[in-house]
Amino acid sequence: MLAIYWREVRDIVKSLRFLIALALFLPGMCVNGFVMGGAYQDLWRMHVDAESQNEGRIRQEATHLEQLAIDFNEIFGPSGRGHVLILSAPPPRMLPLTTGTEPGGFLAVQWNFPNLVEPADLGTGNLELPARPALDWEFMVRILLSFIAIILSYDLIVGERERGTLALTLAYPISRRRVLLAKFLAVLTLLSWLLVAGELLSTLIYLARGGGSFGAMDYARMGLFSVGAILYVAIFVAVSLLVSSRARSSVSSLTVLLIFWMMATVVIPQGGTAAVEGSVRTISDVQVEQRLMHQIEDQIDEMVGEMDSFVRADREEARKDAFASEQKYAQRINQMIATAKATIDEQEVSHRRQARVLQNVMRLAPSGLFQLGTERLLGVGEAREQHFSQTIERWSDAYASFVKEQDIRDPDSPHVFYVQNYMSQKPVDLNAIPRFNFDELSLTESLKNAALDWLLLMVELVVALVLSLAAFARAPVSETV
Amino acid sequence: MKSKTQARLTTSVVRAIAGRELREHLRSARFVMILATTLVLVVLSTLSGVFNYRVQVEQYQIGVARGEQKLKEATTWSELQPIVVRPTTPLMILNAGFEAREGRIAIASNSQIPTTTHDSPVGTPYLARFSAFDVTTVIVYLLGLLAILLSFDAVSGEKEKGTLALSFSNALARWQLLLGKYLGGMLALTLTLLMSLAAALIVWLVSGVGITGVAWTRIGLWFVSILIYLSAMFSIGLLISVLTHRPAVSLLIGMVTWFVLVIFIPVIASFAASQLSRLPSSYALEQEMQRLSEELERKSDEVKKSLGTQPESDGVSIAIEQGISLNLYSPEAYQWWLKYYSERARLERDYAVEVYEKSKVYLDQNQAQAALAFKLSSLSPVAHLERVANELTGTSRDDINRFMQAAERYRQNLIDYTDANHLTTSLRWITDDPPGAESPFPKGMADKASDPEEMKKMTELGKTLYAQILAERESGKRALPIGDLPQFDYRPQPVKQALSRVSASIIALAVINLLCLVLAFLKFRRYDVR
Repeated sequence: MLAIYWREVRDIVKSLRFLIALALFLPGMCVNGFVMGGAYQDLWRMHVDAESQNEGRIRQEATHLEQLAIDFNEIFGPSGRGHVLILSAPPPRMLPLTTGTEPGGFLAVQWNFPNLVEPADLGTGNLELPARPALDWEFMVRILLSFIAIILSYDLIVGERERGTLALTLAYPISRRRVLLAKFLAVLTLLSWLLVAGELLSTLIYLARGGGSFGAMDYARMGLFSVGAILYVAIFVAVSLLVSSRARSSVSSLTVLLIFWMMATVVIPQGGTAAVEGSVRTISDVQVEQRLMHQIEDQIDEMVGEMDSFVRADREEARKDAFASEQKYAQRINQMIATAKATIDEQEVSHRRQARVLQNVMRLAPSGLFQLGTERLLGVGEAREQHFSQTIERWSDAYASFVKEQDIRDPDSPHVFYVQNYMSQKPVDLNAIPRFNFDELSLTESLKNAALDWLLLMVELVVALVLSLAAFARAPVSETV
Repeated sequence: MKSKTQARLTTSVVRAIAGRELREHLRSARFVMILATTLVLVVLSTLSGVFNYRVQVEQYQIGVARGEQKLKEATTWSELQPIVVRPTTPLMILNAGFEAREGRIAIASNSQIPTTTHDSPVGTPYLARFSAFDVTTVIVYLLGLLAILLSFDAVSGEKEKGTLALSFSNALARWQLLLGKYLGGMLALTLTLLMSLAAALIVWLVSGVGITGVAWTRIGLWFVSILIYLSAMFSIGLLISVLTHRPAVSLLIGMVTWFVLVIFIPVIASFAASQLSRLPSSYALEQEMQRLSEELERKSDEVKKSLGTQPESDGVSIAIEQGISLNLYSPEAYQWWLKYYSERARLERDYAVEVYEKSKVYLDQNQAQAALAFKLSSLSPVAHLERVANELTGTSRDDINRFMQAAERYRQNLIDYTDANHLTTSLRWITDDPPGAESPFPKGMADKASDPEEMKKMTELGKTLYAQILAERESGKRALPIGDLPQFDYRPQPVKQALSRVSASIIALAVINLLCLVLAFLKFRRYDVR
C-alpha cells in the first residue's frame, strides 16, 4: 500500500497540473496575506479612532447625569449635537481566514440613548467596484483547492486504465480497497502540504504587513479550520475517484467532474440564493420606512391631542403639577421607541427567516456546508453579527440602569427619565459610566455552533468514500472495446 | 469562372463541416447537461431579477411621491428642497450591474451639493453574502464553460480518434476544417444563448414587466456582446486544442484557463486593488464632515451675536406642536431673522462647497481604485464583457454617476434661480406669513406667562390662529409660486454614447478573438495530423 502511495505522490508532484496548482494557490495566498495585513491595520485604526472619539465625547459631554440620557431631538430630526456614539467591534482576529458577511469586515453602529441602534455607514467598501467575494482562505479552499483536488485526481484510475497499467497496479498483493485508499491518501497528503504551505506564506506576509497577532486560541482555530478544509476537499477527491473508476475516458471523467464541481461550488449556492430571493419574501426597507413614518405621525398626533401645553422649560413651575404632562410625554416617547423597535425587529425577523431558508438551501451543497461551518467555527459572519448586537443590547441595559440608579440617588431630581430638565443635574463619576466592550465568541461556543455543519460534511465524505470504494471494487481493469 | 466554382465548393465544404459539428455538439452529453443547467438557472435568476426590480420600482415611486408632496407642502423658499429620483431600468433583470447597489434619491438644497444618494440601497442583508447572480453571470459562467468544452478537443480529439488524418484525405484545406469547426461551435453556442434569452424573456413577460422599444435595441446589443465573449472563449479553446496533442491535456488546460479567466482573475484583481490603491478611512471622512457641520453652527452663532439682541418676538413662546411654533413676529423681529437666515444661507453654500470638495476627493480615490481593479483584470474577457453589458443595459456605475452629475447641475440651476430672484433676501425665504401681518398677541406677553388665566387665553388664541394657518396651507393659499422653477432634466445615457464609452473593451474582446483564431490557424497549418 505504501508503495502505491509513494508512487502516486511522486507522479503527481512531477506532473504539470501540480505545477499549475502551485502557481495558482501559493500566489493567491500571498496576495491574501498582503491585502489582509493592510486591511487589518485600516480596520484597527478605524476601531481605535471610534473608541477614543467615544471616550472624548463621554468626558466632554457627560458633565452631569442628564447629559447621559439624551434629548430626543435626535429621533425627530437632527439636532446637530446629538449624543451619538459609534460602537464598533475590533477587526476579527481571523481576518485572513474569512471576512464573513461584512464586506469591509467592520462591525459598527451608531448608538443613541436609549438603545436606538442604526447601522453606521463605515467600512462599506468601495461602491465603484463590482461586488466580488473576498479572497480569504475560506474562498481559496472552497473554490480553488476543491478545483485543484479534481484536477489532481480525475484520472487516477481511468488514466491508468488508458495507459494499461491498472492491471499491473492491481497485481500488488493488496486488496483493491487499499489501492484506492492509497491513491486517496496520496492526493490528500499533497493537498494538505499545499494548504499548509499557503497558510504559512499567508500568515507570514500578514504578520509582516502589520496584521493582528495570533494567540494560542487563534492558532487552535486555524488548525481546526485546516482539518475542516481537508475534510471538505477530501469529498472532491473521493468523488473524483468514484467517477474515475467508472469513466470511459479521462476526458469524460474530467468533464463530468467539472460539471459536478460547478454544481457543488457555484450553481447550487448561487442558484439557491436566486431562488430564495425570488420566492421567500421579506419586509423591504421601503415598507419599514413607510410604516415608521405612519406610526410616528400617529403617535405625535395623539401626543399633541393629549397635551394642553408643551413641556415647560421652567423646572420649578413643572414641579408644581407633579409632572403629570411630562410623565405622559416620557411615556409617549418610550412607547414610540418601542413601536419603532417592534417594526424594525419585524423586518429583522423576516430577514432571518429568509436567511435560515437560504442556509438550508446552501447546505444542499458541500461548499455551502463548508462556508457556513467555517464562519461558525471562526466566529465571524452572522454568528458574530448576532453576538455583536446582543452585546450592544446588554451594554445598553447596563447603561440605562446606571443612569437610573444615579438619578434615584439624587433627592433633587424630578426623576422623569429621558426628558430634558427633569433629571438629576448632579455631576457623574466619569470612570463609573459603563464602557462598551466587545469580546469575540469563545471557541467552545463556536464549536457548538459549527458542529452540525461539520458533522454533515463528514457524513458526505463517508458516503462519497464508500461509494467510490464500491465503484472501484467493480471497476473494469482494461478498456472495453 | 473556375474561381467561382471553387468558392462555391469551399463554402459548401465549410458548411458541411459546420453542420456536422453542430449535430455532434447538440447530441453530446456535455452540451445537454450544461444547456439544461443554464436554462434552470436563467429562469431562477430572472425570477429573482424581477423581484429585485419590483423593489427598486417601489423605492422609485415612493421617492417621486415624496418629492411631489414636499414641493406642494413647502411654503418658504428655504424649506423648498426638491427631491430628484433616479429612474429604474427593467434591464437590471438581465444584468443587475450596479443598479441596486446605490440609493435612488438625491436632494438639491442650498446647503448640500449632491454627491451620493440620500437613501441607502434597499435589499436583504443576509443575501449580500453572494454577488448578484443575474442572467449575464449565469451565461458568463456556464456558457463560457460550454464554449471551452465544445472547442477543446476540436483538433486534438479528432487526432486521438484518428479521424483527423481521414478528414484531409479528400483535398480539404486545413483552414476550411478549422473554420467549419468554429462556425459549427458558434452555431451551437448561439442556439444555446437564444434559448437562454427566450427563457429569460418568457419569465420576464409572464411576470408582467413590460419592455419598451429602446430596451429591445439594448437587449439586442447585449446579446451581440455576449456572443463576442463566447466567441472569444471558443477561440481560446480552439487555440488550446491546436497547441496540444491529447484531448485530456487540452481539457485540463482549457479548464484551468476557464477557471483563471472567469473566476480567479476578477476576484484577485478587485481584492489586490483594495490595498494597492488605498482609500482614506471612511471614519476619518465622517469625522471631517462632522467638524465642518459644527463649524457651520459656530459661524451661525457668531452671526447671531453680531446682529445684536434679538427683538422681542410676539407669539413664539406658544408652541402648538413639537417643532412648530407661531411665526407672527413684530416687523423688527422679521427683519432680524431675515438678516440672520440670509447670512446663514451664504454660510451654508460655502459649507456645501467644502463638503463637496472633501467627498469628491474620496470619491475620486474610489474611482481610481476601481480603475486599477479593472486594469488588473483586463486580461480576462469577463472583465471586458461585464463592463460592456453594464453600459449597454444602463446599469453601470457610470449611469449612477451621470445621475449624480445631473442632480448637481440641477442644484446649481436652483441656486442660480434663487439668486436671480433674490430669494435669500426676501421675507419669503423664512416665512409664509402675509407681508405686514400683525401679531394678535399682546405686547410683552412673555411676562404674563406665569398667570394661569392669561396662559390659558393665549393658548386658545394660538390654537385658533394655528388652525387658521394650517387651513390656509392646506388650501394652497400659502403655496410658493413655483411655476417657473427649473425642472430636473435627466435622460439615461443614449445607446450610442454607451457604445463609444466601452469601445476599448469591445476592441479588447475582438482582439482576443482575432489573436486566438489567427494563432490557431497558423499553428494548425503545421499541425501533425497523424
